[in-house]
Amino acid sequence: MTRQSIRDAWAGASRGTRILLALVALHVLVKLLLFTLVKDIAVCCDQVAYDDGAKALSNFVRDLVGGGPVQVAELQRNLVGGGWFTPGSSIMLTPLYLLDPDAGTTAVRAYLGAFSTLLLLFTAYRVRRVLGDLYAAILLAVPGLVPMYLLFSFSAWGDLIAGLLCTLLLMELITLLRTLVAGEAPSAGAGFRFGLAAIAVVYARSSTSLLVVGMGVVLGVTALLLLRGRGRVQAVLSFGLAAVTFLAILAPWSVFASKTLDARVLTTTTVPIVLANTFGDRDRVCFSRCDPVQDPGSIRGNIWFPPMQYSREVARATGESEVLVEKQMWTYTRPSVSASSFAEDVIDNFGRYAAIPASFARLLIPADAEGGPAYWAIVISTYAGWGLLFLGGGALLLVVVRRSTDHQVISLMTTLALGSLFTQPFVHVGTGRYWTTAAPLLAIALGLIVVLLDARRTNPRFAGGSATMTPATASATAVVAPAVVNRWLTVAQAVLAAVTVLVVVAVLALGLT
Amino acid sequence: MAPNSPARRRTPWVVAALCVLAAVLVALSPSFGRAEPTGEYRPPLPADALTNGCYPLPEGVEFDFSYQVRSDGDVGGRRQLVIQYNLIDRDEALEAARRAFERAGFEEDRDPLVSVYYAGRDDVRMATLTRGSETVRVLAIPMVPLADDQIVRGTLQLDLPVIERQTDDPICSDVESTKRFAEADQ
Repeated sequence: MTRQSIRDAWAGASRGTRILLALVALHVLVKLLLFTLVKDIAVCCDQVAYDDGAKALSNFVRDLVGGGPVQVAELQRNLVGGGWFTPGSSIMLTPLYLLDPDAGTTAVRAYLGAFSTLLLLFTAYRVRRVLGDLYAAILLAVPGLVPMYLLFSFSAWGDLIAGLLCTLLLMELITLLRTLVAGEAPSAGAGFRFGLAAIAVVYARSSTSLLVVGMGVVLGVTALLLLRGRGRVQAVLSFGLAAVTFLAILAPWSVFASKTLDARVLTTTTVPIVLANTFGDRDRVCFSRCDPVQDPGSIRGNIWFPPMQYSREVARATGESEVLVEKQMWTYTRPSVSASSFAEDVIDNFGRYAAIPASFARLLIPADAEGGPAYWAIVISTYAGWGLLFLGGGALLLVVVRRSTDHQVISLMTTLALGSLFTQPFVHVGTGRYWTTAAPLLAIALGLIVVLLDARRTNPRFAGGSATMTPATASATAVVAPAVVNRWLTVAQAVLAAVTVLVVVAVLALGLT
Repeated sequence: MAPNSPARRRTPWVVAALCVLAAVLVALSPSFGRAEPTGEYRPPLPADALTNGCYPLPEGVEFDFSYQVRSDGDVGGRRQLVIQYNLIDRDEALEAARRAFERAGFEEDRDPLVSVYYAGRDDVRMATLTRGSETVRVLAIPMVPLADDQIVRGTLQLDLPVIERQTDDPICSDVESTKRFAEADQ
C-alpha cells in the first residue's frame, strides 16, 4: 500500500471511521508509553499460576508432538493446582512458551499487551458491526484509553480478557435476539459462534459463569416464545449446537481437573473457600483459625493458601478429597454468617470492586515510579475514566427504554450482563481488578445512554444510529406482534430495574444499621 | 458484513494462514527446549509436625488415628499441642489417645473420661496420665455443629512436658510443618 493510497483511503473514509482510527492510534500510543513502565515488572500473585500453567501446557504440547512421555504430574501441579482457575489465561500464554520456553518478563509483558490489544480491536470491530460507530468509539476511549485498564492489559490476570470476551458474547446475543425478534430462526453458524464465545468467557474467568448461563437461558426462552413450527425446531437445533460446542470444549478441562483433585470439578473449586473467607468467621474456616499467612509479601502471602494447605492436610490424613474437605469447611463456617454481617461484607466488597480502580498500579509499575508524576497521572485519569463508565454506564441498570425494540434489546441484554457481573461482590472478596471485566460492558451501556440522551434533542446526531434490526422477511415465522414484544421488553426492563433498586436498598438497610 | 465484501472473502485465507502458522509452531516447539514451571501455586505439603522428627510426642507415643496438628508451642513451662481428630467421635478419640499413651508406659491416674467444665461447655472430656515424673492431660472437644458426614470432628488439646528440638534438620525451622507459629512471631 503506497502512501498515496493510504491518503486516498483516509480521504474517502467516513468521519466515524476516521475517529475510530484516531482512537486506535491513540490507544496504541498510550499502551507503548505504559509498556516502558511495566516491561520489567515480574509477574506476581495469581499471574504466577497462569504463567506456570502456560509453561506446563507448552511442555504438554511438546510431549504430544515429540512422542515423549507426557508429564502428567507437571500438568496437574501447574495447570490444575488447587483447581482455583479455569485455564484460559494459561492457554492464552502457551504459544509464547511454545516459541520461547525461557521467555523473560519483557517478552511475556509484550506478548500479553499485543494479545489484549488485538482482542480489544476485534471486539471494537464486532461492536461497530452490531451496534455502530458510536459504541465502538466509546469502547476504544473508555476503557480503551484508561491507563490502569491498559496496565492490566499487560498482565496475565484473566479479568480484562474475560470482559472483552463477554462483550463479544453480548454482540452474538444481540445479533441472535434480533434474528429471533424478526421472527427468524438462527443459523447453525450463529449457534456455534455463541457456544464458542460462551466457553471462551468461562475459560477466561469462571466468575462469569452466571452471565453465560443467564444469556443461554434468555436465548432459549426467547426462541421458544417467539418462534413456532419449523423455525422453532431450527432454533432448538442451533442452540443445541451452541450447547454441544460449549460442553465439548469444557469437558477436557472438567475431566482433567476432576481426576486430578479426585472430586467432581465443573469449572473451579473455589466457591466454598471463597465464601468462607469472604463472609465467614475467620476463626472457623479451618475448623479453627487457619494457619497464619506466611511472608505476606511473597507469592503465597495471601489468605487463600492456608485454607488450601489445610484441606490438603486433612485429605492426607483421611484419604478424602480436599475438595470435599473445603465444602465442609464452608458448611462449618456458615452459621457465623448473619444477614447483616453478609450485607456489611457485600458493601465492603462492592467498595473494593468499584472504588479503588488504580490499587493495582503499584504491582504494575516500578517501585521508584510510585508516587511520581506518571503514577499520579495514571491514578487520576483512571478514576476519571472509570468514574464516567461506572456512573454513566451503570445508570442503564435503572433505565427503562420504551422506544425502538432494538434499543430495548440492547438495554435489556447489557443490563442482564452487567447485573450478573455485579453479583461478584455477593460471593467474593472485592479487589481493584474485577472492574476490568465489567468495563467494556459498561462502555456499551454508556453508548446506549448517549444515544438515548441524544434522541431527546430536536436534531439528534445519532438518529437511527447504526444499530439496525434485521427486517422481517417473507419466510418469517413470527407469531408475536411487534407491539407485544415491545411491551414485554419494557416489562422485563422494569422488573430488572426494580430488582436492582430492591437489592441495593436491602443491602444498604441491612449492612449499615 | 456484505456477503461478498473483500473482508469476508479474505477471512478463510487469514484463518488458513493462522492455522498453518500454528501447526509450524507446534511442530517445531520440541526443538526449542522445555519450559520450567515453578509449581509455586501448589507448594509441597509440609511434613506432619509429630513425625517430622523435630518435636515428637513423649518417647514411645504414637497416634494410630487420623489427625492434623493445628498448633504447637510451649506456654508457662508446659507444651501445648492442639490437634484435630477426623472420622471418629469424641470418646473414641480420647480413648485412642489414652491407649497410645498407655502403650508407651503411661498410666491413667483418674477415672477415665472425666467430664470437665471447659470454656463454658459441658461436652468436653478429659484424661490425665502419668509416667514417672511426666504428666500429660488430654482434653477432647467436639466440633459444634457436628454433621453426620463431617470429616473433621473435634479437637484434642494436649498439655505435655516440654520437649527440646530433636534435630537440626532445616524442616524444624519451617513453621508450616512444626505449627509453632507463636514462637516464630517472637
